[in-house]
Amino acid sequence: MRKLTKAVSAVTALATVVSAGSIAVLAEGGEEKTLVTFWHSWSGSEADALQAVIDDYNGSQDEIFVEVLSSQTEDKMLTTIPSGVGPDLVYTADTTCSKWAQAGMLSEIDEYIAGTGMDVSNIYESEYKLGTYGGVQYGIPFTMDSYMLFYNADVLAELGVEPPTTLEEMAEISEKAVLTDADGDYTRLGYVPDYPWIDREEIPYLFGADFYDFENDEITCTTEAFANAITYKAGFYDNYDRDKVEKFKSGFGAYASSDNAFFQGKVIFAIEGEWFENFIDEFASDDLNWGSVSVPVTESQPELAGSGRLQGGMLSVTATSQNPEAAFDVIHYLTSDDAYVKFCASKGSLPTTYSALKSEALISEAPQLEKFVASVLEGKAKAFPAVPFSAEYSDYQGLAEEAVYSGEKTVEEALADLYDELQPLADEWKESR
Amino acid sequence: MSKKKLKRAGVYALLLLVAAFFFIPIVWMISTSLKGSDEVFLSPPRWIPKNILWSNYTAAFEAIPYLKYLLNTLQTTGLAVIGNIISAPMIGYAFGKLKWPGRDKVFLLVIATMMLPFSVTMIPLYSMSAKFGWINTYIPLVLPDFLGKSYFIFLMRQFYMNLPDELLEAARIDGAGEFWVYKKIALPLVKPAVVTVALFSAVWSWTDFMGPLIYLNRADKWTISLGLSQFTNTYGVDWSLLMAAAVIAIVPMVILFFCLQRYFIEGSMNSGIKG
Amino acid sequence: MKKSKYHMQRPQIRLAILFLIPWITGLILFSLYPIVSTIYYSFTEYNLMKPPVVTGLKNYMDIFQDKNFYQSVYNSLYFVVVGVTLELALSIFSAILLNAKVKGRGIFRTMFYLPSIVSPVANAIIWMWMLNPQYGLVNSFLKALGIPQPLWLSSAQWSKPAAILMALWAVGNTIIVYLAGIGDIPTEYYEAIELDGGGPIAKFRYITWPMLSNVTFFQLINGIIVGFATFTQSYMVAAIEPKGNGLLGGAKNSLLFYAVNIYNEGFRYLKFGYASALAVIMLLGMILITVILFVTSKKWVYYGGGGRDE
Repeated sequence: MRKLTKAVSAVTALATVVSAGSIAVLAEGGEEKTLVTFWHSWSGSEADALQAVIDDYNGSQDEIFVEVLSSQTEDKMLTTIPSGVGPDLVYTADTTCSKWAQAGMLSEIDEYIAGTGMDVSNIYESEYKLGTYGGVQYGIPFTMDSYMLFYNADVLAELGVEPPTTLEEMAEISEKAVLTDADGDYTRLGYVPDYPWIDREEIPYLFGADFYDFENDEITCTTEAFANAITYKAGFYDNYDRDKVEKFKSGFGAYASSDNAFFQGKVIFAIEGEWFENFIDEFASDDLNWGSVSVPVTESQPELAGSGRLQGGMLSVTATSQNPEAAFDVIHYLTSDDAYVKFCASKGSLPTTYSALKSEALISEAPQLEKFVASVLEGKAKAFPAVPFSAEYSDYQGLAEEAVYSGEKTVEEALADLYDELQPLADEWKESR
Repeated sequence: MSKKKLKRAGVYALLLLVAAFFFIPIVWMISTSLKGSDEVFLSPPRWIPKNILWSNYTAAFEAIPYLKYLLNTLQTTGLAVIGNIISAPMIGYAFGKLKWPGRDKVFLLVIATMMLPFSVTMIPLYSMSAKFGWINTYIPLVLPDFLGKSYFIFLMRQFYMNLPDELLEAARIDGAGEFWVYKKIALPLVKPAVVTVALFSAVWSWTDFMGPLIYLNRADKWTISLGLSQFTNTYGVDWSLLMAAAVIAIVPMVILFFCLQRYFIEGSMNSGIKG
Repeated sequence: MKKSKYHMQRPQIRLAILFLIPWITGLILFSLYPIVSTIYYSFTEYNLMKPPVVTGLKNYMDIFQDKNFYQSVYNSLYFVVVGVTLELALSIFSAILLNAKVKGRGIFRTMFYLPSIVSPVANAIIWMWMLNPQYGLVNSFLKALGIPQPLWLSSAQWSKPAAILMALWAVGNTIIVYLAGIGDIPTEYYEAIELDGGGPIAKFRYITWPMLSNVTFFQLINGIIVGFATFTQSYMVAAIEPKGNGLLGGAKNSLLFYAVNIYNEGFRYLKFGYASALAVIMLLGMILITVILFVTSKKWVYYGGGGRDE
C-alpha cells in the first residue's frame, strides 16, 4: 500500500516539475497590455484564419493584447460569463444573440459604436438586426452564410438533364438519380432534405413562409406557405423508404473530409454555403465535376428566387468583461475593410459590411465568393427573426416535422400543435417588454 | 479428473464469450485506427486493413502536443489518486466501523450529494471557484478528491461493514488506541478496496472531460481528454484519426491496470487468512 | 442505557469527528452551496445574470404540464430499470468467471476492464461506429445471421437499447468491485457446500449472492444515481450527427433522458429556474428510492461485520 502511495507521489511530483519547467519556457510577455480574451467555436483551418488577423492586430498596436481560445462551446461561455472570469469577446450563432441579450449576458454596445465612429449603415441590414434587442445593439454580425445548390455535373450529364431551376424539377431529377444495390439499399440519392442540416429554415423561406410576425407578436408557422414547405419535405419521405434513407445517411462520412457524401457521389444535390468551394478544393478528388446554381424555388412562385436564409455569426462583448471598450476595439478592427477582407478571403466566408462585400480585393483573392456576393447583394435573403426563443423554435419545429414524416400527424395538425407550443413563449416575451 | 477438465473448458468458453463482447469493439477500434477512409467505409467490413496506415498515429500525435498533455494529465491524475486513497478509507471508516449517534442518517447525506446532475451544479461550483481564484489551476479538479468523494466513501464503507467487529474489539481490549486500530487492523484488511479506489480515481481523472473543459482556459494546462475532443470538430468525425487518438489516450491506463490487477489476486488470497 | 453506550464509545466518536473533518469541509464547499442554491432557484425565474425573481411554485406547476418532462422520465426509467438490471447481472457473472483459477486470468481481467478505461466520449464514438446501420460491425454480423438489422441510434425504437449497450460495455468498475467482494468470501464456505453435494448454482444461491449483497446494494444505488444522470451518449449522438442544430433528444426525443432535459432547459433555453426545479424533483425522487432501498435492505443485505443499515 505504502509502495503504491509512494510511486504515485513520485510520478506526480516528477510530472509537476517537468511541466512547470516547460511552462516557464512557454510563458510570454505582454503583462503591460490590456488583455482581451476572445472565445470562438471554430477549429482547424478556420481558426487559423482568424488567428492570423488577430496576430496582425496584436502587432499593430501596443495597448491591447488579444488571447484567442478556439473550439469553445456556448454552454461553456454561459458557465463562465456570470462569474466574471469568462471571455471578454465571444463569437456565437446569430440567433443566440437576442436570447443572451435578454438574459443580460451581453454588453450594450451603442456607446462604443458611437465612440469608435463605426458606420453601422455599412452593415448588412437584416443581419445587423439580429444583434438588436429591445432597440439596443448587442452584437455586430461577423459572418454571413448564403446558399447555392451544388450539383454533381457528371450524374446530370449521365441522366441527360440540365441543372434544376425549380424545386419540382429537382425532385424529378432526384428520383431518376436513385441507385440501389441488390438488397434494395440506396447507394445514391438525389437530394436529401435534411442533409447536411440547414433545411429547417431554408425550405420555408423558399416557399415564401415567415417564422414570426413582429407587428402582432405571433408565430406564423400555420400559414399556407409554411404548410407547403413542410408538405414538400414530407413528400420526399413519401417517395422513399424512410428507414433505408436513414440507413444510407448513417454511412455518410465526415462532412469536412473527402468522405463527404456529395464528394463521394452519394448525393448529387446539396444546398451549401460559400465555404463549400474551399472544402471542395481541400477535400474532394480532382475527378469530381460539379456546378452550382441558385437554390431553386417552386414553379408557381418564381419571384421568390434568391429568398433563402441568411445564417450568420455575431461578435459580442460580454456583460462581465473587464475591458469592454478594448473588446469592442477588437470588433471594430476585425470588421474594418483590410482585416475583414483578409480574414474572409482566407476562410472563404462572406463579410457583413457592404464595403467589404463590394471590395475588389475580396473577389480577386477568393473568386469563388463572387456568385454568393452577388446573391447577397440582391437583398432578398432573410435572416431568422431576432426572437429570444429561436432555440425552442428550431427544436420544436424539428420534432413537429418528425411527427409528420413518420405519419403520426398530418402537416396541418403538426403545425397547429407547433403553434400552440410556441405562441405562449411569444406571449411571455411580449408581456416582459 | 476429466470432469474437472470439462469444467475448466466450460469456464474458458464462457470467459471467451464474455470477453468477445468487451474486447471486439477494442479490436475494431484499433483496426479502424489503421485504415484509410477507402477501407473505413466498406460493407461488409474488413478486419485487417489491406493498406495499414500508421500515419494516422503520427497525424494524431502531431495534431495535439501529446507529451505536454500527458504530463498535465499525470499531475491531475496523480493528485486525485493520492487524495482519494487518503480520504476515502478514513471517511469510509467513520461511516462503516466507528460508532457514533446519527451515523446512518448522516450517511444518507453522503449519497444525496451524488444525486444532483452536473448541469445544475456546474454553474454554482464554477462561480465559487472563480471567487477563490481557482480558474486555470488544478485545484477545483483535485481538491474534491482530498475531501472525499461520495462514491469512494460509500465503497469503502461497504467493505468496512463486512469486517467482523470482533477483530477490532480484540485489539481495543488489548488497550490499543482507536487510530492504531484503524491503521494496523482495519486498513490492511480492506486493501483490495483501497486498490480499487486508486484504480477508479485514476481512470476517472484520466478520462474526465467536463472538469478540465470548464476550469482550464489555457491550452498549456490542458489534459489528454481535452486534447481528444479536438478530433471531433463542428463538421463531424474523422473516424480513423479519432480512433488512433483514442488508442493513444488509453495506453497509459492499460499499462497501469495490468500492473495493478496483481493486487486483486493478492486480495483474494488474503481472504484465506481472514475467514 | 443509550447514553452509556455512547459514553463507552467516546474515543470512537473522537476519531470519527477527526476523520469527518475533510468530508464536512467538502460538503460545505462543494455540495451544500449547489444544493441550497438549486432549491432556491427552483422557486424563481432565473437566467444566471439577472437577480432571480421569486415565482413561487410556478416552475413546479409548469413541469406537470410539460410533455418533455414525462418523455424524459419515461426514457430515464427505461434506461435505469433495464440498464441497471443488465449491468448487475453481467458484472456479477463476469466477476465469478474472472475469479476462477485459470491460466491467463490477468489477461482476461484486463480485457474485461479495457472498455472502462476508454473515456465516456470515446466510448460513445466507438459504439456509434459499431452500431452504424450501414458500415457497423453489429449490423453486418446480424445480416450474416439473417436477422433484421435495426437502425439503432437513428430510430426512436432502438436508440435506448443502443444507449444501454454503451453503458453495459463500460461495466468494468462494477465487475472490479464485485471481484474485490468475491475475494473477501472465505473459501471454506464453498467447501462446505461442496461437502453437501451442492453444485455451482447452490454455491451462487447460498454463498456468493448473499455474501455479495453488500456490494450489490452499493452497485444498485450507485447504478440508479448514475443512470439518472446519463448525459454523454445523447450529447455525442447530437454532436456527431449534426442534423438537429444542437437538439439533444435524438430521434423523436427518444434519447431525451432526465439529465439531458435539465441541460436543455438550462443551457439551451436559459431557463435555469425551471431546470433547477427539474433537478429538485430528481433529487427528491432519488432520495425516496434510496430510503426505500435502505429500509428494505435489512431483509436482503448481509454484512459480515453484522452491521445493518438503518
